Amino acid sequence: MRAKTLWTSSPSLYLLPILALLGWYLTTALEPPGFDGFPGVTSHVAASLPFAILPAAATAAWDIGRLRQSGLLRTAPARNRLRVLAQMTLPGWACGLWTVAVMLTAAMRMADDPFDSFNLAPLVVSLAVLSAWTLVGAAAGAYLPPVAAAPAAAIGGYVLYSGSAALTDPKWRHLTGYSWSECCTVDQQPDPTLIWASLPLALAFALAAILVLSDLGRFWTRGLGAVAAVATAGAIAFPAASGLGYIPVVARDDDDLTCETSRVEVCVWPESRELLPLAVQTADQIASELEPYEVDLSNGFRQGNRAVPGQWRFVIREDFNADLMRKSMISALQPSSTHCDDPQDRFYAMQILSTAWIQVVLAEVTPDEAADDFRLGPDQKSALEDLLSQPAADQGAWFDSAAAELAECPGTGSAEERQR
Amino acid sequence: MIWWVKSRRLWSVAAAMAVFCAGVELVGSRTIPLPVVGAASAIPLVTVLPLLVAVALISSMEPADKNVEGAAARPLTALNLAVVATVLVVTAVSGAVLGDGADAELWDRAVRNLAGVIGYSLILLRIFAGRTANTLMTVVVLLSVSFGRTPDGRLLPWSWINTESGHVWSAYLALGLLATGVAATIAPRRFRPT
Repeated sequence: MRAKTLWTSSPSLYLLPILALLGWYLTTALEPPGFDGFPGVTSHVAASLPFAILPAAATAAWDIGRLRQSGLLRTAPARNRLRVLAQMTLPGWACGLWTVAVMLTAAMRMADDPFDSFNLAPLVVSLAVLSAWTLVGAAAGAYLPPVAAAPAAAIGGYVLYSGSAALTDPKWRHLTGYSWSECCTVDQQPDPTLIWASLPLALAFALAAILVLSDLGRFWTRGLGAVAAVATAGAIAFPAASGLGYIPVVARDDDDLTCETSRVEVCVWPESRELLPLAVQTADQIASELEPYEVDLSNGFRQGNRAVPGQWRFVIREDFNADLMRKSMISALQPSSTHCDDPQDRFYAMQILSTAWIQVVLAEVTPDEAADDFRLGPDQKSALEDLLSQPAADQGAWFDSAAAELAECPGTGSAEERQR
Repeated sequence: MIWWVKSRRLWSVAAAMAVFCAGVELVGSRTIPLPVVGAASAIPLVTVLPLLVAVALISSMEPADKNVEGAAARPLTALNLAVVATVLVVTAVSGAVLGDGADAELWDRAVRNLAGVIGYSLILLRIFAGRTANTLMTVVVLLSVSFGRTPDGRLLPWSWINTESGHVWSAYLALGLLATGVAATIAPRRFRPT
């Protein structure tokens, strides 16, 4: 078929402008911008992937359905059947690819420095999933009645991809590739194992669809081949998916950090490099205010979106000024107890007392205000007042010991998992 | 009559109905995180399950041979609408039998959404060929699920399919769509032999 005929006879050409608007709108409207590097950008695209899968699968099913209705697939072929079907699938695939490209462009425009943490894996998996659903749509077009093929392909791709996330067992979301839509904060990278959980099945479905569409051997042998491909992929993907947590991420490589030391070491990720001087200045100010208390700040401050026991991790946003930076760093000094096994709330009590203490010392909050803010009971309030009445060095020593105890409390996750 | 039963592929409608009823009863309240522009993104499965029946129904109602059907002695439109009525009655009866307690609201919503979606389908089937009608209906339903909310989470007026079971206007709208769809199916059309 001539290329011009291929494109003008397919609905894909007319869908392109609509999909461009849709892709742009979705990327800018689905969530407020808050990207963290390239994995964040591609994960944002993956979150809207059903909107690319839907037109791709439906258009492929529609086009192949037209071919089926014409009776061409049953007549003696002049050209290789797979080649004809591949040609007819191209417009649908292009629809999906175009939507992804628009979403990616919109997301990149919203990100600060997307290439500082370049990771192609989420994009590769998204494209593999898109291609697989397009081919499955084509197979639906070849075998289902034309009237049902396009809706079946649209519903299948749109609902099954997202629907896997509704299942409580996280394995299914890893297998369909949905997990890639939730990656990552600035201090995380996708878990490399996730690619072994997501990619094999996408490739297997694509291969199965190609086998079903081709004319190699009898239908049942092709069907058997398709089942074998999916089973083999499942055998590879299931063990990989089973070993992964709900949001499979690993800590980002520390070598990427940009650090500067004045009174204390402050490290930020390349995306926030411009705010490093402000962070250093704020950290110096905090260190000088804590000097009488002799609080141990030797670990330094480090940019991160999640609390990690034993580390002072602070959040940076693009619009941070000196005041917001100070608040963020004070928050970083508040130890967490959520990871602790804490049946008697001992660690929680320790956490809110140290948090209240930090607020009184650094945030110009009175003990009464701190007691109200953190809902301290009468005993905890008097413990705070006792603590504040002690010599400064003793207060700092108590805070250090509480922070150390909270960092090493028995509880969930191995030491390695707590670093993620 | 046998020809009509065969050409309507009623077994596929029956199969879709069985899957729909089982789906509502077993997993209807489960939510799927469809991409939604707005605050809430967890869509109960009962919102999209009616698509299965509507797709099967339109596929079945598409004339197998327009020339034969144009010259049919049997009242084919009435028979087609009888299938629609049967689908709705079976769903309502299933809801009455299976839906007790918390499930009752789920079934109310399922019946309302099914009636509305079938109404959509019948209207589209009057305007377009079955293939286009089916695809458009699917896209309209999926997009109204995804774009039915404002960014602060409020439901938009046309997004009746997302509302809870007790929402009176949505029930009226679904009934209105069904009535319009039935009227569009009954309305006389000019027969053009091909």
